[in-house]
Amino acid sequence: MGPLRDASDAALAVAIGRWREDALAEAFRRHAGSVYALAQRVLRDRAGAEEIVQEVFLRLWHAPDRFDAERGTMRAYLLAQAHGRSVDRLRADASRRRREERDAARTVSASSDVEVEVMDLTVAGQLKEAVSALPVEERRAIELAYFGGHTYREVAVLLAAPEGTVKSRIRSGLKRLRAGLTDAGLEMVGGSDS
Amino acid sequence: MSEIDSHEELQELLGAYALDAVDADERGRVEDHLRGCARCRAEVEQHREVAAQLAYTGADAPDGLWRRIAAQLDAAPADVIATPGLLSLGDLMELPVVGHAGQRDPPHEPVTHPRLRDLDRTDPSAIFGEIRRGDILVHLPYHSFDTSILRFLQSAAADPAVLAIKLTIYRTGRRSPIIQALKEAARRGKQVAVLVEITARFDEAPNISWGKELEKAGAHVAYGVERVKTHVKLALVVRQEPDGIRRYVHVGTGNYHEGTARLYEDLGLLSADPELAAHAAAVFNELTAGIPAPTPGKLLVAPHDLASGSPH
Repeated sequence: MGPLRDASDAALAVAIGRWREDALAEAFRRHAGSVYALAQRVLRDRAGAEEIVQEVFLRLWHAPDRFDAERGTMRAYLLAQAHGRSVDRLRADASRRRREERDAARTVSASSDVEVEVMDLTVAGQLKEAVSALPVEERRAIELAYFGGHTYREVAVLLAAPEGTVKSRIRSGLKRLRAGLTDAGLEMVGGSDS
Repeated sequence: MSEIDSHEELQELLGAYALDAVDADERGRVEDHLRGCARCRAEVEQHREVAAQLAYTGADAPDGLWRRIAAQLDAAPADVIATPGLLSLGDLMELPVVGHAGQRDPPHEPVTHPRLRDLDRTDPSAIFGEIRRGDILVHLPYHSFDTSILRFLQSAAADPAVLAIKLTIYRTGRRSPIIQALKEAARRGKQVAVLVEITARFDEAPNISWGKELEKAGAHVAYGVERVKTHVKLALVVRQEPDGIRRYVHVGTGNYHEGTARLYEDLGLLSADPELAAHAAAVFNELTAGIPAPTPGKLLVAPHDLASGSPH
């Protein structure tokens, strides 16, 4: 057994590919908290979030090659997995509820949702700065999409803005955040800038 | 959604896509595009890295969660058998290489065939005009499949002047944009006839399932020809033009499969040669209706005339 505590995420993935349980345990130690927090945030359901964490790490165990260390970080990969699964679950639940209530015409109208999805600003200073430098409408759109699990069309309804505008705001907001984080000296990985 | 999705249009969706904020249909279209566009793939990765920064870092996973996961890892020590080497040649398909970035070739990005490079992306009739100017030979995987053969079929589905599309399919991708294009064409009232080979090893079940999907969309689907395995890769597009009906053909050595087209070396010919096209039409009649094609014709078709017609 090598010193896994010091191993890179890429090396962990290789070890996981060789069925080393201690490597998966180390990946869990590093990332499970964030994965759980994100799933919990989107689902607002502790039991559901725990299931997502299990799914994501079991997937890493069975298909570690789906994580490509040259394309991005393991954290981003695991969080994207968790987010996609949480959102799928949210939408499946929502459509089941809709069916049960036979209320197809009901739209996302709860304006209180808008208030709930606020980015956690208890994070590192650099991120806080980058987030607070965002135009508020871009920030809102990203919050509702990422933490609220809404599609950009639903976000458009919630914010009473045109769909195309919301779509653009999400993209430009993410780009602005990336630039802000890079300026703040955070090394951003993932794809070369084009 | 019926038009060929433009790079610019899909680019606008990438932020929402990276945050899972698109609906299922858009997700499929973005993923189709990502397969052929390294620049957009890189952008999605970047957005995901930014999103990962937004997620809270300080949290701990609930107690006991790891134990529950560990209990599900079904590889007990006794299950793990170390082998001294590779298990089979299949293992060479993918060698895990970590690090040594400087010693790796950059991933190969297929280029668009020069004759197809400057076509108007929004005009589905453009590719047919170019084929009329002369045959186009596509060399996969060096030439892009997406901007040649896939574009030929997607254009045929979108172009109002196209009356009919006929195609043989031996193997195709799981979320195949070709199937999407054919469904779209059938929905738009074009005649779509597809010959599906069901004895394609590993792909029997999927072939039947998307064959049914095509039928539902209104396409005519024939499932193979008895006693022979239809391995031909042939597509025929019939177009109403000012001077009459004109047929366009694609005949190739590679499957209509956007995944393997990035991997295997194959040739594909796009042509409006009337003699070739007429014979291709006759071959389709033979495949779907059992009406024998004239032999020998411009195409040499096994099992009748391939051996006798080949140069010795």
